Amino acid sequence: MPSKCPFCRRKYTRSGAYEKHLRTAHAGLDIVLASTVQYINMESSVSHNPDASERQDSDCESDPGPAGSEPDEFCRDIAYESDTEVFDDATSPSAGKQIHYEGAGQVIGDVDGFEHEYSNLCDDPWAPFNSEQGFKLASWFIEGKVSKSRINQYFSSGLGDAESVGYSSMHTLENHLRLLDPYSQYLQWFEGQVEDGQRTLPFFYRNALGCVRYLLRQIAYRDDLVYAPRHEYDSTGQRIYAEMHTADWWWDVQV
Amino acid sequence: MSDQTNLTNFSGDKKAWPVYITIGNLPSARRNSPGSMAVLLLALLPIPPKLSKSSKADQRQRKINADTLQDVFELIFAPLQDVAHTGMAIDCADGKVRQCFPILPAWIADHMENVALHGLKTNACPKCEVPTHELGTNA
Repeated sequence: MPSKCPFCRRKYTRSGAYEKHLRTAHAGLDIVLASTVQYINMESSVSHNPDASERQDSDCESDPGPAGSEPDEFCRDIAYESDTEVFDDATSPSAGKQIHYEGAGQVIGDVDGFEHEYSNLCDDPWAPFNSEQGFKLASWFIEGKVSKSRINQYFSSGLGDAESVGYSSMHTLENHLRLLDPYSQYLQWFEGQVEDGQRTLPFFYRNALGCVRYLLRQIAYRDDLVYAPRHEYDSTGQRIYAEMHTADWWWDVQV
Repeated sequence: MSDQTNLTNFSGDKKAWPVYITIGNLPSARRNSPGSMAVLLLALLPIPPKLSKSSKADQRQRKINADTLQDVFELIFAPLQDVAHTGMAIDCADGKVRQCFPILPAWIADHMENVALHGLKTNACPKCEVPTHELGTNA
């Protein structure tokens, strides 16, 4: 059962190809949301996601019967093309054997509240927006670089339905956007001054460790992160040097 | 664990000197794609005013500026100094905690940037200690 992209009409059978599609075709979407939708689609085979079923229904209405199969076939062709492309990428390292560094990347515990946070993401993918419409309107505002005063005007003149989108001004929208990035406290800016003998110059910096923690914490990177060095070999026993973690430096530095 | 890019941008008479940071744990395809937002702006460095080559006072000033830059970097990377040796329990994206050793392994910069960062002469090699007049002799 191929998963259908909720943002367009394409279908994907492989999670890798689907993820690539989300990343490239819908790169403008918020990264946290993109990963959420991806998890939901993975789970939709088990528990049916109301949003996905709704979309399938609306598709059936628009093109019922055999006439509807034509665009779907077209979609499947596209899906097939990108599938094979990703398939090649995925098979090359797994053809030979891999040696993992003993004990590296060991798990030493669970993150408090992660299960809760994760299930919240699955239950309500549009949070903190109360609907898909609310999210889409917000991303349209931001991608279209609509000015703050224009957004306020949009709501004050009654063009927007504040009830259904869940925010009624730039101020409330900003509060929503802040909630989208719960780890932004890691990215606090600091201001420093340097004295060069003649004048004082300002400079700005973030906590480097905070940046690392912020990146490691992003659920969007969940399936990509590599925690331990390894040696990879192809089918003839030749060493493969590909990513940083397959080369020697990680292996040598590992404690 | 971290992997850095350093760029210089010039537009009009305004200058910015940004330093970026990212992590090596992400595969390069993911890390380098703009949509993945895996590269964070770490710092905006102070930009010293233009100095002339001839004046003795300006040459002294240049030396001071180079030293100041080193101090600024020391401040920015201070949080990584101890943690790189002792390690730190960091929450990871899969909901697990791991003992992490964030080390600064690589710095991407062009030649002029290297010259500014390391306080080199413009014709010196940023990687090795071969004197300028011997560069290329052992090819």
